[in-house]
Amino acid sequence: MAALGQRRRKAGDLDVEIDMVPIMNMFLVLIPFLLSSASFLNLKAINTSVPVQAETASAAQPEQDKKPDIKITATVKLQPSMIKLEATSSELSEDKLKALDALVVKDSKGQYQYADLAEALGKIKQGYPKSDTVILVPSDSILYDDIVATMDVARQFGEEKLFPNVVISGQVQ
Amino acid sequence: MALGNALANRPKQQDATLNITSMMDMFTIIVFFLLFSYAEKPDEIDVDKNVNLPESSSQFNYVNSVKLFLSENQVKLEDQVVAAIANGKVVGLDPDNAKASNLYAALAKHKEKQVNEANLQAQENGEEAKTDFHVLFFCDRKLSFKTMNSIIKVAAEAGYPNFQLAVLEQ
Repeated sequence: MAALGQRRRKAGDLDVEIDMVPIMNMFLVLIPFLLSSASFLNLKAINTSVPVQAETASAAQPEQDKKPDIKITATVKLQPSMIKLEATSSELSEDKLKALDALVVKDSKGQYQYADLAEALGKIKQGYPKSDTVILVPSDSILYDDIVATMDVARQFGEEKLFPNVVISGQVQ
Repeated sequence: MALGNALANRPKQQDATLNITSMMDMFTIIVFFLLFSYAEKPDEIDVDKNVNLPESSSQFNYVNSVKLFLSENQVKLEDQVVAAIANGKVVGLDPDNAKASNLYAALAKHKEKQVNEANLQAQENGEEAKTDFHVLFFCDRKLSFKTMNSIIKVAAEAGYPNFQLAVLEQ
């Protein structure tokens, strides 16, 4: 057996080594080219538009029956020291809308309390799931960074999906 | 002679070979990673170095359209500087008469060019001409809303009421 094995090894193919050097050369050219043309800034976009007046449903049905279909438009007023949340809808009474309003003040470090804002927006969304629009009204001095952060919170906070349509509007003097 | 014998009797040197298989594996992975990350991205955009974009959780891809770069001291339409910003105000822009500004003129000219190109393309393909043009804003994170808003208003007046805000993925 041992002799047969030896004979087979002798009669077998020679060890063939593929010449990898040309492939290596090609890779060495390709990698710097791809690296130099690659962009490591991962750009995304936020779609925005001008505010649109919501369509009003007929007032014939009682409020209780319509609740799942009621759309609330949340207006988030972004001010230097606080965030004011106001709910607007032509289908709800003033008292009910007032109950949904909220005021979120900055913390001691001067940061907006986005968790509190998300909670207030979540309350509207839970009560009126069809609501999908937030109108963001920043003051003149608000930085773009804060506007984007507020828009992010209005769209989604953690795993909770809130208002997919965020519209920016200038403050009416 | 003794030295000559010693040299003649020393073991023969073997040809040194470099095992490049592991390096090949690594290069193959890198090339495929780069090629795939290249294919996933939409059209590449060169972001102006003076514009420091904010980060966002938004997952929307941008549509490559008219690009307006708003840094702390200038406004660029594509590669062309169309206005300067001083103390948070666009130089030469009167909010009550936006149509007289350079920014408006540049945007309106761009819009006209886009409409002509879309009409020409529609005629060639026998389709309806595209009408939903929008601006892709690249705003510096430290820019105030007042400055931004004044430029957004001019863009809307020039025929771009819809816009996208470019951000960095978190």
